[in-house]
Amino acid sequence: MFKIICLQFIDVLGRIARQSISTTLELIFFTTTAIRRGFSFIHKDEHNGVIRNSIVTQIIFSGVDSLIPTLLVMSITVAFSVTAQLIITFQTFGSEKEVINLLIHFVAFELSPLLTAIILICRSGSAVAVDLGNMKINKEIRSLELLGVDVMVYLVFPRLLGISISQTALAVYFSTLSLVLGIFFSVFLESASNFKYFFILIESIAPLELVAFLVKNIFFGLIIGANACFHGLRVQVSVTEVPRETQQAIVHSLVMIFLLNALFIL
Amino acid sequence: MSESENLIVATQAIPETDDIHGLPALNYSLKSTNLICFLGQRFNISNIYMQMLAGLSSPQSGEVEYFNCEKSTQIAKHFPAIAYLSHDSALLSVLNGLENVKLPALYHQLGTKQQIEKQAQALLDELSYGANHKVLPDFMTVVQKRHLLIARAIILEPKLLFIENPFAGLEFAETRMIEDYLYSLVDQKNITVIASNPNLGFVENYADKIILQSSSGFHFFNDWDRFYFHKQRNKLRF
Repeated sequence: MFKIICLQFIDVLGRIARQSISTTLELIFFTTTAIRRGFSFIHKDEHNGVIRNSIVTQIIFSGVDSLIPTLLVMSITVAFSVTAQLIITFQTFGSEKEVINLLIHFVAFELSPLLTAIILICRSGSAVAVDLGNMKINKEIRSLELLGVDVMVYLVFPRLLGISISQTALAVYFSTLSLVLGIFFSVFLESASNFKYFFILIESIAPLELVAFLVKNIFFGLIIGANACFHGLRVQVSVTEVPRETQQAIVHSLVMIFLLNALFIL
Repeated sequence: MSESENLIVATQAIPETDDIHGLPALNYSLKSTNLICFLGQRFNISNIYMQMLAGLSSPQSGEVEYFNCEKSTQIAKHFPAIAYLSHDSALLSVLNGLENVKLPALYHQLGTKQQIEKQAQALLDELSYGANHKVLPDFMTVVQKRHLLIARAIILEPKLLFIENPFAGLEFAETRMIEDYLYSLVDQKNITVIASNPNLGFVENYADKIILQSSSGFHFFNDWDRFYFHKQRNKLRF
């Protein structure tokens, strides 16, 4: 009996692993195809404004529109509840350098990109998946293909690029605000001498770490955009597929982003 | 292009389908500047043959030759010479009417932004009613959307326009508007229009050629009278 349960468990695990690997490979293929075709289209038609306009629209939707209401509020709360508390708590038993190290590595390079990615997944990733899913059901995508429009170039590529650029820019914005405002809050809550962290902070950021931070965020954006487009386009005929694929896009994006983040730490 | 030039030649061509068996083979030479009506008692079968002729699906047997040379089954290879509007074609919901019409021309770089804007505006001005084309498709009537779909397809200046069930879901007056518009494409723009399952009034008034698909095979008619005689004799209903 125990042996049968164990075998069934292994069987289920194997199936899940096989499915996950095959979906991930499909996703990688999908992403590389969209990027390859997108860049070759742009290269061929440098003056083609259609793709450029789509990318700009996506940046406005994913990036600019979420700057003020969502990210500003989130960065203020992180600045108050995380950055300021870390400064106040850790400076009692750590050196200035250790406090700054903690702020840069934890708040700026880890927490901020992750929170930005989570906001972008909820806000843009889900919207893109629903949007493409509905377009598929309404036969808008098939109609575009009949006009010789490559969906990978016109719909997927601008979303991938737009979300990547937005993720990177928003992560920089979020990190900066949560650090700067956090130091301000620590000044108000504790002592004016905490202003010193501003100057130490600017000097302590290593260029290589900054590059790694930017690269990580570009990949985060690609993961969010690719999952949203991939799952949105997997919708076939029924409206009931839209919420299911959207849910999968969100969950897969979250899992992949946390895994990638762990890889970057290694 | 001369009047008699063959655009598409189907030889013993049977379309590929998963669920319908025993379809008859089609032998037909599709010539330029005609309005051809493709009739059948089962709408979906007429559309399957249209899709094969347009290169959207490959024949399971026989062959289809395009423009006297190419034996390809990919619409992309004949693009933009062949335009196809399926019965469920839809405008892009995130773009307004004018942007929808401009989109394929902008994507394929068929001119400068200003030229395409002018061309799209001219196409919309030809439509026989005054409608606001700067609203999203969801705020448009069925006939307005149908007009825009046709305009979006012909902005690419195709030689052939395949259109499935062009009058489905339209009221009488709306049907007349689309009928006149389709006829104007043949008459003024020299586009060969192949319409599947149109109403018999349209067939009577405008069709240059009629293809009738039945279980026994295909029948071809060059005028309405012969078709009508055949229809009456065989007690066909559409």
